[in-house]
Amino acid sequence: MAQAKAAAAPSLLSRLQKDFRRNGGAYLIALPVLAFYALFAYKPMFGAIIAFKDFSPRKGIFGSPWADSYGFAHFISFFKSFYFTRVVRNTIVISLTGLVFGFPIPILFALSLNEVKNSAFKRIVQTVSYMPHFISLVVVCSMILLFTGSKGFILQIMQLLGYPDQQALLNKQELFVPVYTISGIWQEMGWNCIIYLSALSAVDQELYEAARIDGANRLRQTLHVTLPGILGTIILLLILRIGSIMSVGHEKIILLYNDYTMERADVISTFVYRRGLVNGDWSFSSAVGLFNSAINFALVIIANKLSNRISGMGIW
Amino acid sequence: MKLCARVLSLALALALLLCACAAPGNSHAPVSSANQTPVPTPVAGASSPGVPSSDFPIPGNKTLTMLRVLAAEAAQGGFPNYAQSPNFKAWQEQTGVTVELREPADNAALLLALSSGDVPDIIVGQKNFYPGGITKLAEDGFAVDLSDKLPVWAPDYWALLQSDQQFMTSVMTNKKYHYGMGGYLMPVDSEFRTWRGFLARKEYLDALKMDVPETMDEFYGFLVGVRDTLEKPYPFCVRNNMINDMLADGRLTSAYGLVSADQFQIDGKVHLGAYEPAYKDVLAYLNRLYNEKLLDNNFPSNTDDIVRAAMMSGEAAVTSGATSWVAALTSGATEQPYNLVGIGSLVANKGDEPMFGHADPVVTIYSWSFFPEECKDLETAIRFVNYLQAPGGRILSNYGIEGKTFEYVNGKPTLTDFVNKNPDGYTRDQLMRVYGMLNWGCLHLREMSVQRYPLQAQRDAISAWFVPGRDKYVLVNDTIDPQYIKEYTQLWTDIYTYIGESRVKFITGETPLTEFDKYLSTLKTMGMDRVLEIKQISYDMNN
Repeated sequence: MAQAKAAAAPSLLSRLQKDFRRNGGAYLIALPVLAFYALFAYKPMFGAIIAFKDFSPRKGIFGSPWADSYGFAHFISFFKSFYFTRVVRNTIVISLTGLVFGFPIPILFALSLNEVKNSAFKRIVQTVSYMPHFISLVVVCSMILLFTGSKGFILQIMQLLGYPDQQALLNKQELFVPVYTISGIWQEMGWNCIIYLSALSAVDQELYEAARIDGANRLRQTLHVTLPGILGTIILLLILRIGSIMSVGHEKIILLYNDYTMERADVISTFVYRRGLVNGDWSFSSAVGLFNSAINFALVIIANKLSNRISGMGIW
Repeated sequence: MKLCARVLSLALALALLLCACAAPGNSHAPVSSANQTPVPTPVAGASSPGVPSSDFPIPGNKTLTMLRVLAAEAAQGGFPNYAQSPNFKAWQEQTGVTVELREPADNAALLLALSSGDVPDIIVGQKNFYPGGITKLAEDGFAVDLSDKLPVWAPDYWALLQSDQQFMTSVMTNKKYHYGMGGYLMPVDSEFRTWRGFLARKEYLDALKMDVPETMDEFYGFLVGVRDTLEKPYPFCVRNNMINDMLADGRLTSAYGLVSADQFQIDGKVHLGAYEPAYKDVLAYLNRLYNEKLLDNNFPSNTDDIVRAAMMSGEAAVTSGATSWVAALTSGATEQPYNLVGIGSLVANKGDEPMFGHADPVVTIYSWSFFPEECKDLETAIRFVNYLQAPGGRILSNYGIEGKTFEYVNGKPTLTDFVNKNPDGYTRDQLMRVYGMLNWGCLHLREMSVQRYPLQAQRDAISAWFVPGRDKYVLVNDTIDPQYIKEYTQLWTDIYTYIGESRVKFITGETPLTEFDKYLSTLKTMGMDRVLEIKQISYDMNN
């Protein structure tokens, strides 16, 4: 991209004109997409300014007065909160656990599905596995509460295996993160593997043939042909995933947590929910959102740099 | 969580009731020019001389615009939104005013509509729907002061407010301004303001040859009997927020000289129960129930469904529930016979009067009407809303539509079979929210509540829960003054979280009660004294 730019810089405009004349229709088709991003992704960014203001619906975004402390009052209020360290710690722990355990599973799942030869069976497994993705979160969470409850099937199985305790799993602080992560894997495993499956189908079949001639067994083929074939996709998704480390959604946590597990479950978004949205304090919510985005943004850049250095691949 | 809140408010709505037309000021002159519209005769019959009454319909084919958050109740009653409900159509018909109602999906959407300049003649929302509260709403021009307008244009509403000082205090700001008209009111002395408390299995009391527990010791003894003699696994089955409720209601605190674990006032001084030394004894009692497995040890993660199931199967003997639970549990019970009795707020010694119990405020936070500066016809708008407190409107909002949802039997409005045994399976409450205004919109008549709760057990439970003297501890108007609201929110959000978490930890014993003093000092460092100070200043300004 950088090279192309350098070479084409003097004639960029004329080339664009030429291209536009030739492919006018394609530009026209792209227009709504551009408009979408301009309107719904770029324009609202200016609204982030309310993080530095005391937003009042009557006065609007630009008419609202600046917040105290040179506009940083909401940030200071967040940093000074009694629970600041706890919610940041929990956000990172929950996010990282999800990354470490949740990220590889769809890849392994896609790889094993790829080995299944019976296409009817494959399709059934796929459909069943991504079904939880389409169930409303509220329903999913009440299912999780039932499964992990004192009469849920999980405890019943554990009791058959000799585990004596009858307390619901979510009655124990230390089990919140495992329950949250494992249920998250169950919810999204099937859905997330779709992109890997499509990457797998793009791997050149001749490479397998060559590997087989060289005497590679199934495992060897997977390690030396399949994995390298989808490595680009994996790295791309990994970098994107790292870019959302600070964003743990509040819905599922609020549906699952209780006063007892809060010590481990309370994250930035749930904190903001209680503080900002319930009380209609949009400026405060925006300030925290901006803080999260800044960290996420930095993480994406770092992850991309590292990836470029280590594997030579990256998003840009 | 939005859904949680919705479910909660629904549960709240489900359980709310109404009340007596007892105060003399509550009866109004009959509608005078009611010839063109089917306005029924006034409920109380006699008109009070000297109480001015509005004339309906309002002449001149006036039109207004209104914004109100979309209510889930409409869909549950079989209509896509409130605008198309029979109640709203009848309201317009009987007042002769045409109202264009727009219903944003939630409070955020309502605020968005306002901030984008889409300002109607009437805004209907919760009292504090606006960030910064009702004073901020007025400052920003979304609520004009109605103080000199209400006596003239809303005579029925005004007469109602004058009938009781609690009404007047509740709706005023800084003891001076009327920035809005309260919607959902209940007479001060009505027991139907109470709708939740302890529910116990009557069969188990009988089996143990016990009376309904009145003291903390009797309650404990009953639970022990259920555990040891009847061998039930969860004598006292609740979920975490029910413990919060029962402590806020003061159902377990009276014995220790504490009004409630929540806010209350004694002689004008504001207290917070969870910050009082006596709170330790309340926690110790619950901790004992927990340790002896009388209190279901799964309470932190229990859900309503789990609690209901335990009650219906007979595994649990006592829970904390709303009036609607009496009917739901009884009809869903898997054992027979199945009867529930209410247990009132517990005391130390037999014969003591409990200090506190549950009750809704006399003016709830729901469905207040505000009139922005943009309102192009303030008089018509106020008169239109006032209709709900006028005799005809009061019948409409309580009983719905004559010939459809109610009929006059011996001169008394009586719900019809369409409501009591609906052919399409809608419940009484669902229908009364679209034909009437159940739980919002007007003063609720006691007569209606009696008809609404067909089970004697429901009415008996309410009588058991109702503590007549409770109101002397209530912060009638607990609005926080806007100049402190930021500071208050910042401190209180964290403190509230901390109190909730600590409560569970003390009850389960994870934090031993010997650390109660540490808990108090942590609250102090979190700014509890400042919170109380702000509450006190605001209370003094508004009460």
